[in-house]
Amino acid sequence: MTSQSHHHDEFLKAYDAYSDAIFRHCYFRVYDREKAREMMQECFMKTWEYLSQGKKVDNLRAFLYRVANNMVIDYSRKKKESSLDVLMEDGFEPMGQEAHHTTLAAEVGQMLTLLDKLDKKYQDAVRMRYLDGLSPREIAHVLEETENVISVRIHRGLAQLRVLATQGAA
Amino acid sequence: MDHQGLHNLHAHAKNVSLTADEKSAGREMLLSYMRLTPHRAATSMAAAASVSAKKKTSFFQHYLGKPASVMALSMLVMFTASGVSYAAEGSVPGERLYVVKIGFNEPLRSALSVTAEGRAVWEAERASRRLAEAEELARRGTLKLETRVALDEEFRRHAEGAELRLAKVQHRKGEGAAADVAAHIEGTLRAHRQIMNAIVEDRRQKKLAVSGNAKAQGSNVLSNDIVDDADDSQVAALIASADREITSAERRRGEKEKERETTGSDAARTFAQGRRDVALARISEVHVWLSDRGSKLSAEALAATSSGLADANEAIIKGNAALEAQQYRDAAAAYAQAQRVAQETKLLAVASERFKVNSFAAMAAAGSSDDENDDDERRNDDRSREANHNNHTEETKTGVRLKFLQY
Repeated sequence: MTSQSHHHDEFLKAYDAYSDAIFRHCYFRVYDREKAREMMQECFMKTWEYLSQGKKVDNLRAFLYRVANNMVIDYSRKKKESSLDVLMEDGFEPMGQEAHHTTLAAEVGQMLTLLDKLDKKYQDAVRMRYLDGLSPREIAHVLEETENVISVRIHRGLAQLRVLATQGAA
Repeated sequence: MDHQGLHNLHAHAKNVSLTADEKSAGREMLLSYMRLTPHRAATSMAAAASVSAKKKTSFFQHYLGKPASVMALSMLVMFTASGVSYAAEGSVPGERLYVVKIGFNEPLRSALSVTAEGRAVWEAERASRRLAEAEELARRGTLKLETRVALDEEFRRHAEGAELRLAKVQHRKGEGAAADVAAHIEGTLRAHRQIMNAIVEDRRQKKLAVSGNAKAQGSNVLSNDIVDDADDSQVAALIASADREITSAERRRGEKEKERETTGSDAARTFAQGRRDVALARISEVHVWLSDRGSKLSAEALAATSSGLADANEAIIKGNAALEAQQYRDAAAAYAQAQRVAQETKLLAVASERFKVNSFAAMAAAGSSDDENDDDERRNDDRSREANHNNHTEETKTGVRLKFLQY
């Protein structure tokens, strides 16, 4: 097995393992399936470009999330953000065809709408914790913060969510 | 806020995932991309691991898997696969790297186009590339019938593909996205028509100059520099092809513009505003290009680019007035014209830099991009042009001259 093949195989294993998760990370921010696929693909290609220059990455999964997160931020800056509220009023279903149960889809949609309204500084941490399923330590790697800072952001984000939920119910 | 609900969010979110086909296609594309950008550490690792210190393992032996002497030298002089890919972009039929351009670069870019708009624009870009290759060959005086027919067929195939994909964009993404792509395609086709006319006119001038010199020297024998009439007829055939596509694009645009509401609705206003934003972005792109490359243009080409931008801005002003007056259909049409003119202006400027043929003289002779152009009027227009045979297409990233082979 040549070295090039070895590098290819290793990276393709990462693609097999993380492509779905990175796609979801992008999808639940841009709410456009095709765009999310494009971003996921570009994320892996940019990561490969970085690795192919011989640079080291300690935590590939965190690195991929970081690249994807930066792409989402760039995309949001270029495009006028439509809030999930407005999209859903136009009939958009964030869970798409995969949501078989109307009640489930409504609940998830409601939660996503609340997440959308969080302060930006808490949103990333809470999304990665509860949508992407990352641990505070992993989130800290992605956002290049300490674990403690991330834990505080998650805690404060949850508190804000509770307030938003109460206001919404009122 | 139900904490359990939040905890379940991750499980529910997993229902959104790639299909097996999407994942597989992405994997293939990624592998193709990785092959184009090989891991540098692998080559040095291979060299370090080599038992024999005498024979250093070359990058090409690892990457290409065959003796360096076998592969075409024009590929092996490049240090990285990305350099090969880059150099291939400027190749035309008959050159070794054309195989890389058509067989490698373009399929890879096709795979990279995931969105509906991306696919439609890329299909139009492929049509445009075939025309650009024909233009380059015509400029060199080497556009033969067989090559022209092949390029023309490919041009029409991709133009039809772009039209089909445009319909999909309309269906999936709505009118705004489709109008953006349609204006891009039409602007590109118009620019190519102007470029081809400019090349023919340039060759006509050259022919006049050469035959004038021959007469002055009392010679009846034409020099080796005489321009081949056969090439002109090939370009004329391509202009006819481009004209057909432009006519189709104009008809589609006309139909869409008639369908749109004249006044009133929020949707019509939003559409017009969307067209304005896109047109302003295209104009801005031309400004950026100009600030980067403007110094390479001739004074005439620079003046013509500025004039093209002025025309685009005038269309914006017209659109703004119509928007203010709530004439949304007229506003959208004006903004779409601004976008087309900006697109055309940029392509003509790029061609002027590349070919050193004054494409803009043909454009100026023809008038604005929406005029009904009469080819005879253009040819009778008495303008002098510089004919510069500096061959930019022979410059590659590494400065290696490629050997041209006849196809």
